[in-house]
Amino acid sequence: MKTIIKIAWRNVWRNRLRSGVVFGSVVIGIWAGLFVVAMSQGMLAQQKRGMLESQISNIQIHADSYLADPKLENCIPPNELANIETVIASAPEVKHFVKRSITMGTGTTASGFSNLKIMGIDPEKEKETTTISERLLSGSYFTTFKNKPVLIGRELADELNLEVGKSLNLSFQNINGEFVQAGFKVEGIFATPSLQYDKSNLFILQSDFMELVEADAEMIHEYAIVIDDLEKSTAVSESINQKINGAKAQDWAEIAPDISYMDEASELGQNIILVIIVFALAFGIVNTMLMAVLERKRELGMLLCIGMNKTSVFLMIMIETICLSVIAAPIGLMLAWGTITYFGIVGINLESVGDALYKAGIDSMVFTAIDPWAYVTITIFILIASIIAAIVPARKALKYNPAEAVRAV
Amino acid sequence: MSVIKTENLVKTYTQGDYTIHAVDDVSLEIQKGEFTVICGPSGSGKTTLLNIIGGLDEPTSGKVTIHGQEITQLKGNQLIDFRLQNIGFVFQAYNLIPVLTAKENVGFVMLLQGRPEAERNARTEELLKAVGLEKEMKKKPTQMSGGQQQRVAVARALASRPQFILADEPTANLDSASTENLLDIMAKMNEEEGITFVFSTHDQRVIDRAKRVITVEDGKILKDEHFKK
Repeated sequence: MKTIIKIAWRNVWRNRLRSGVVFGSVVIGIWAGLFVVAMSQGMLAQQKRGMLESQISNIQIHADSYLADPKLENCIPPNELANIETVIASAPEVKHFVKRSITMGTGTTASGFSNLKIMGIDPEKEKETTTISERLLSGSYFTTFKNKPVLIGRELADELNLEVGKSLNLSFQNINGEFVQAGFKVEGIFATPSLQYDKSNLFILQSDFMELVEADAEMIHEYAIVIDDLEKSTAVSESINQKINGAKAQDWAEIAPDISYMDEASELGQNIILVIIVFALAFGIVNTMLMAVLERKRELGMLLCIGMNKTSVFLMIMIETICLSVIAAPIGLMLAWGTITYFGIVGINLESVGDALYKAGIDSMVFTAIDPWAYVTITIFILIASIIAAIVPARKALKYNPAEAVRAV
Repeated sequence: MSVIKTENLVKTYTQGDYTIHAVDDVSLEIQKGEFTVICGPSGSGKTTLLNIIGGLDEPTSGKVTIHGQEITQLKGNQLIDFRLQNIGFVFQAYNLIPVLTAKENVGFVMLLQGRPEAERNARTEELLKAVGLEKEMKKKPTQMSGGQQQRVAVARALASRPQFILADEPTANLDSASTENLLDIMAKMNEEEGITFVFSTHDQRVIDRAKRVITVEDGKILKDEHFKK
């Protein structure tokens, strides 16, 4: 066996150019496969993080009636607010939470109008819970204008031709069902990873909201909660639900199931990419080894003539073929690990296609990220592919008639 | 006891409507220590006969017995193992393993036989010395001349201590000096150690050295002459 391995190993280096091409393609294939997966996972993770951090948070609480019909009057029962806040504050996993007043209305400028979700917030608490304050493209975060400031999304600004300092008329129903109108001044323009969100959501001060809806008591429609570990979202929301009445806590996956589907779809897509790459590499290996077996017909014939049995010849070709990928695979894995780690820290600036990425809900700076299992998966794929790829040339070698092969030109 | 015995050996090929008799009812015996040449024009069937004797090709009918063992009864790996233990091969194109050194090439057959390393090393050195290549042991085939490579091939053929050596056109690719040198070595081994050689050739220089010349034509033995050397 030792000698078979020795001959197989030396055969690998016999035609350095050809083996080099195979090594190169395996190295680049593995690197490219993993890097593409890391880019895709990085974008997805950013998109997910961005949506959770700027919009959804980890858990939200709404009145049962609001979940059925999100109207102004369907707020969380005022007598339950204190209990809910106590329950939230007492959960050890909770890092921050914020309460919001929400209604649907219309925003109008000289350029047009748009249907909007108007959220009244406490800026300081909101700052602790979401990243809207960090996502301002222009303007400030409730510090410049004292009189009815509003933060709007980039898409809405474009649609209604708004800039910082310009006026936006908001109209919506008050608690009595009467329409109220008020002029707000654009204080800041934000951009989240969701184009749709930026088009239809805006933030005003909770005090302005209360004043305009003419509510006697505090009207809270939503609690947004950030916890210390995303994985605990379901458990924490279930725990909250056991202690509150008239309202329901939902984790992020329940609020935005499309985000969790994205995770599953991404995993499937990643495996498909890896399988395609490995499949292509396997074809390259088969082709190279078939050429090698054809070139060495006389030598293989001689080995069969002098008494090397078919199992040994089969093994020799198998080992030689597997060597080709087994040597190259760790180099490809190391290269992929190095570049993915590097770009995971410094990021890849895709500013040139920033608009397209924004529309897809991705920041222009992409940080590569990869599930470590992807390294294991591709290693297993490569090993399986190498073994399968080795069988074809090895079987070809066995089919040679030694008497004819030994005289081959 | 004969080393090689063939009885009514027939090998036919069908080509379209034609049946070609490559070997046609050949019966012969080769004794231990013979230096035999099978000669004949191209297409006479000498290589086919040699292949059948060497267990590389199956006859259509007839028997081949090597040292008392009927090899026409053996199949697959049994036949391969029989060749390993009993027959040494020398080919026209040397057919050494290019990635191994001269020493490794010679030792390779003994390795397949499962001989211990010490025995392999001693015999390899002894054989390479016998063919005058003791200084070329570490060279790979590409670093040696054709004559040197063929001498390594002879050493390799002898390494397994076979019953006989089959040499198919061993001098076809060699110049005169290398041919003479190779034939001297083989003749010496035949004389001094009683090693049986069977050649397939139409090289007159080889035929001139033979103790027995079997002339084949159209698959039949035309002449079988013995010479005293």
